[in-house]
Amino acid sequence: MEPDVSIEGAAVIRVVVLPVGDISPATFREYSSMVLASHKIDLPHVSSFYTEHQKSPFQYQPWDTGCLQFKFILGGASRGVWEEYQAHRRILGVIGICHCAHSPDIAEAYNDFLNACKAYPGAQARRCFAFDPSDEQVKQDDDIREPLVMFPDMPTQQTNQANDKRQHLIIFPPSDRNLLEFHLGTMMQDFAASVLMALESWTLNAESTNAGLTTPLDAQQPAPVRQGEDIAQAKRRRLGRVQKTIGDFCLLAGSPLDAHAHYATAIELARTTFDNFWLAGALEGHVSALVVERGEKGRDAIVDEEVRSKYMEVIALYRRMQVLAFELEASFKLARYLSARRENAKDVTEILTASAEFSKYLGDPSDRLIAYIECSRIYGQLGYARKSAFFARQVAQQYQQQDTRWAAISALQILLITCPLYRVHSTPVSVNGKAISTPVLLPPGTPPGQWSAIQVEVLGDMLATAVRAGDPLAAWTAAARLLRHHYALITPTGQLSLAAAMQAAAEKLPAGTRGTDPALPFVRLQGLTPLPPPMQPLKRDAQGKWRSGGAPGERSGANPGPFLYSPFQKEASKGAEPVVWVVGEVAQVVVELTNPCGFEVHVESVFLSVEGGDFEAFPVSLSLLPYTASHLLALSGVPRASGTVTVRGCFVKSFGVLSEHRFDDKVTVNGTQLLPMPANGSAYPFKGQGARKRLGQRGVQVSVVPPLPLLVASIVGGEAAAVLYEGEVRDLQVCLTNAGVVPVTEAHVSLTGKHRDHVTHVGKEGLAAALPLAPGASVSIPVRLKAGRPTVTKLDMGRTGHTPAHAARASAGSASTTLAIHYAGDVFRPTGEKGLDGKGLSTILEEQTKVSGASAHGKPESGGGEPTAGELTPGRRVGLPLQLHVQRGLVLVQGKLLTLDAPESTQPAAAFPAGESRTGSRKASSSEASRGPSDLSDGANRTQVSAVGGSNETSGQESHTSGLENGEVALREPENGPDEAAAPKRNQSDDRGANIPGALRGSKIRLLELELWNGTDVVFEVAVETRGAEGGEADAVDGELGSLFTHPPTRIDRDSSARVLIPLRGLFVPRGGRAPGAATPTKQFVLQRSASGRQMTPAESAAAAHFEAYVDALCAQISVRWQSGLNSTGELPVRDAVREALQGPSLDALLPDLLGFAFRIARDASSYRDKQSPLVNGTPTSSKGTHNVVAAREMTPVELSIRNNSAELVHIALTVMCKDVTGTDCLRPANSKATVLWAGALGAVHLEAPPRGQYVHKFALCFLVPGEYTLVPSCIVQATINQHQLTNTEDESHPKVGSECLGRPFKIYVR
Amino acid sequence: MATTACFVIVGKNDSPIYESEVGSGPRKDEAAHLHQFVLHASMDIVQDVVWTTQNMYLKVVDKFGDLFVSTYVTAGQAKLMLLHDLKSEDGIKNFFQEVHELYIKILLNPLYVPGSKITSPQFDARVRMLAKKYL
Repeated sequence: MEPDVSIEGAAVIRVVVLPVGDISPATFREYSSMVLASHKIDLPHVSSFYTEHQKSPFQYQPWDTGCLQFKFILGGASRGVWEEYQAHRRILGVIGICHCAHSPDIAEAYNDFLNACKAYPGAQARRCFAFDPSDEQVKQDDDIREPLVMFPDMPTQQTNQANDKRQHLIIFPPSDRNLLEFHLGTMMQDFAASVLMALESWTLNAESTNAGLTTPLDAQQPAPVRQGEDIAQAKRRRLGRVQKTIGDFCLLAGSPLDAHAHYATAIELARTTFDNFWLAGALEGHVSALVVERGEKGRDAIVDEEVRSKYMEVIALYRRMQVLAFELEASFKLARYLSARRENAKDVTEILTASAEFSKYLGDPSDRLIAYIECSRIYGQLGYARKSAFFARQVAQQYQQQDTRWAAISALQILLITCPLYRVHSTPVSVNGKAISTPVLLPPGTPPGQWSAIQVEVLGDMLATAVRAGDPLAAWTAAARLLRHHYALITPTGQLSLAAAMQAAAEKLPAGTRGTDPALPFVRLQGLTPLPPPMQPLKRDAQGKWRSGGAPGERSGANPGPFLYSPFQKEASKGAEPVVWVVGEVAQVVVELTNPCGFEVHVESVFLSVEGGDFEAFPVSLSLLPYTASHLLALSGVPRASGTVTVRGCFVKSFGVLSEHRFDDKVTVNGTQLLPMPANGSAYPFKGQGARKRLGQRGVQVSVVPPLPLLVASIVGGEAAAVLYEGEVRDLQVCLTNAGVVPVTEAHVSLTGKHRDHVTHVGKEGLAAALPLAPGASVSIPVRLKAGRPTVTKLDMGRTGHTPAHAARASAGSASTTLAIHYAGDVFRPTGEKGLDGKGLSTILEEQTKVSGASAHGKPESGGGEPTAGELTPGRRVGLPLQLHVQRGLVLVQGKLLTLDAPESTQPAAAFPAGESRTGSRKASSSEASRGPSDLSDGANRTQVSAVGGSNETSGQESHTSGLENGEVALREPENGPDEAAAPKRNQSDDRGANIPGALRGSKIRLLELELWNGTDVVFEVAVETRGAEGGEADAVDGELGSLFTHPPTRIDRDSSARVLIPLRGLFVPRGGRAPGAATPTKQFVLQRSASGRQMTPAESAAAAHFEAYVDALCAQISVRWQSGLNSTGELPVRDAVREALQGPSLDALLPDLLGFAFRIARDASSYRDKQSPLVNGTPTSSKGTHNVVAAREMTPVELSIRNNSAELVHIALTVMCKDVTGTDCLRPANSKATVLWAGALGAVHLEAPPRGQYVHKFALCFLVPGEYTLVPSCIVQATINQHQLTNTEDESHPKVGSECLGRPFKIYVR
Repeated sequence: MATTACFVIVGKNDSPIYESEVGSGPRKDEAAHLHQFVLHASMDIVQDVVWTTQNMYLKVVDKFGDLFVSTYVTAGQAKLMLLHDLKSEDGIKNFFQEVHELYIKILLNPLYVPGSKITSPQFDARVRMLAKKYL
């Protein structure tokens, strides 16, 4: 049997191609490939080389459209026994290929060729093609042969010279392949003409020759020879056979019409002579002639039907003759012919099924092999891939039965070809490193069926065959596939033997062999380990703003919605920021390894496979115990170049071979793809989904950014955690060190977290000055902390029972204040320059803008990981948690505003020396020891602490530094109300207070009393600082002291309370500050606001704002500092206390007087202080100095400036008194002469003070006696313009008709 | 009963969802694999034959040696394929119909994912019982 038979095969001329001389197989293949290209030569091309020596027997030769077909048999062929029967089985031509470079002696080579030709006596057309001759060889050839046989000088060298021994030799000049192919093609046309002429010759001589025209069948079944009639029949039989042979020649010569006629005769003769075998041959030839004549285009159903019927007859004839090989060949021819049309599939299947059935009766194993091969090919042609694979496997099994290595290699190749169909491999098939083509192509749309039992069998066959064929890599691969994909179907013993087979195969492999298929263990990507927060690169936009920058804890704190849990936010946070790697810094990827098999897997090395960038991976070695469900492994490496890299998988060297495990591979176990979820219940090596869902199918893309600096922050001298008392001020030094390899060129300091207001100052300037911070350099920046509200309460501490620090750590945790420093290194430059060459930041920024502009114009956007144009290079953020825990220190129990009515003295204002705080520290009595601050606040209201004396007060009270040295003062509770305050004579509520005559009420002293409670374990010392009124206004009397007063400290022991008095001289409400008509924020206002939640009118809100502004202004002037221990100092927040104290009627005490008075001696202009600020409280406007010195007995002009602090027009009656040192009125002495003369009005002067304006009253005095005099202005309000309105509103702060106003005394020294 | 019989249910995606050797003959591993290969190869023919008839029972669609492949295709494109060495069309038809009912019952199980392997031991036992009865 012959493989690849077809109906058209009867028209194909067989030519043997032989290597001649010394020629390597590769060279022979290369030259013969050029010969093979000429397998079909058209008759028009042949005609030019064709010489008609006698009349051609092919009358209907289609010279215009016909062709000659050749089948080249490389390396030679044995002579068959059926050549007589079918002419296309004959070898009709011989072509020798000689490579001159390897065969210097052409003559010898040519002789070899001629000798080889003797094996093919039927081959009349012979050619010996010699390629690549040297000059000498050409010359040698020239010498021998005349004329020159050298292409192209003499293309047809049919010299027919008898002595020419080289008539078949053709030497091709050296040239390139295209030219050579062209020359060879021409020579093949010449060769075809020779063959055609030989065919003509045979045809003409067919009847005359004494050729036997016998077949082996004739020997087996000798025809009964009878006399007479039988001889005639034998002659007719021979004639029929001759006609059949001539038909064959015609068919070979490309003349099917001639062949048709001869076959018709032959069929008729054979039928009559019962020469069934030749009848079958003639029928086959007839069908072949028909098919060749019609060609592919002329094929139709009628032809198909005729072909089928004729061939069925042929098959039946062969069956009757019991020539199984011919029967099968005929079947395959028919099947192949029919398989070109899909609708014939049923017929083809039947034919092939029968053929396969009969093939087992074939005696020759090679025939059986051919039968299976034909089945496989025809099924493949039909599109039955599985059938094809099945028969291919049968072929492989036939090969396996032959016990040779070559057969095993063939079997392995066939099995590899069937691999794609059985889905047992994941990578392209290759044998010995070369990819092989797969004739069994999968038709498009082939379903992805997985049949695990079959796969196991195929892989097992492959393993066994590969071992026999000596292909260790194929054996290793097959075993690896078996173990990896079908471990669940293999017993532990089988698994062990497979592992041993893999090891044995690996020993035969050269070291460092890379396998195409991954083996055990299974590797799954678990995730990319992000860099720790301080090392994560942060992106910035073109303006240099940091896009993100919070630690995870901070992000979670920023929940914008009203819900505690939002699935959308959770989803968003899941998608998290992509991991970014930095050049030169270790990157980590966590993978999960699984060994589901029953033996220990030793992984010699496993490292990351990263594509698209320079990446240095660090290999890891480990052993996985049997049935290891999950082993997490962190694989690390260092990226060496910036850009975008893809983490494709990892390389695993196990069982001696290195193979790549890709993360995007589909895991198939037992023939079923198990992702995303195992649907068939098979054992899945991994539990859970893993990271695949998130990471997608195409590996993980990671952008690698250029090297970044790395700042390490620490607090000099201790950890950052600090427990501060409320209001404490502490200075820290933060040390920043650049631990990276790139200098820090930019840094931006910010504060994040909850208690940002606790940090009052960060020394950004020091950091900015230290830039660029070279690698290894350090810089210290100062940070000042000021503790605000407590973050740890006593309650928390009591409940948890921990130390304050512990409690604080537990509660502060995520939301502690963090000093965040965003920094970046060198600005991104597309040229790739690294490092900062001493340029300033501004320079670099300019460059950056230029670069970004340029790239925006011309350059394309760079890829993923690269910073795009206009985007600055990423930086980093170092966060230093300050761990601020503020503990409640001194507790401000309450604040009260006290007014002090002092008797007029010669130096009323000087009554208060510098130390104005009146403090009393009291040990808690036994009955009050357990009371907390809240209790104390009640008790303090009842406790009367007198500022007078001190020694006669409550026993055990520790008092010192009484600033009130001038005897009686009265501390009045503000509950007494303004009316009572305005009437000092009725101030009887304070039994310890002294009555002060109204006439002597020269000035009001306001004191802010703060009651402090020390609930801590330490001792506090409190010191009060006050500043003067706005504009640095100092006290009139003590103006020289400047604007800041520091009072001696007060010590407050633990569990003790104390009161601190703060004088409010000069700290007053500007009466004119409020809007006209707006109500003053008074008790009513506060009550209304607190009682009713109604909407405030605009006037009220303006008043409230005014009140708050005033409180702020007042608090800005008061500073209550405390110190505890050596290094704990702070400031007590008093705002709330002040606010509380000012609410209610007490505010009125702070209001300035209705009218303000200021004297000025007009002669001396400098003595009059014309201030922009309103005159407050009649404060004397000249200081004690030489300015108020006047000469006696001279008229001294004096100006009295009266300022109306209210918003109404006020009619007043002014009276000025002048008193001498004895207090006697010098102007209107009762019983003596006046010692002072005056000009102008001094008594009962009626005048009008415009609202918020001032009136200047001028007069002159003449002092007759030198000494010290005091001018005291007083006036009585007579009327206001908006009087009835005021009564309606009952506003206490408005001037009352009939009320008396006193001014501060003004001293004049007369010399 | 047939000495050799191999029954396979092939799912819609051409993967076997149930396999069993129901023959009464001695089991040989090689033969078992051959049976699977034959069944696998005959699916090409089944795919063509199924379009030529309206019957679910496709009778013998393929043969290899003395092994015949009978097929029954359900409406859901599940192929019930039986490899056997004896021709008893009626018995095979009944066998297929009964197994089809069993298969539908399996499909009715809400916990069964269509296309996944049938692992129910009851199903296996009943199929074997039917094989004994009809084959």
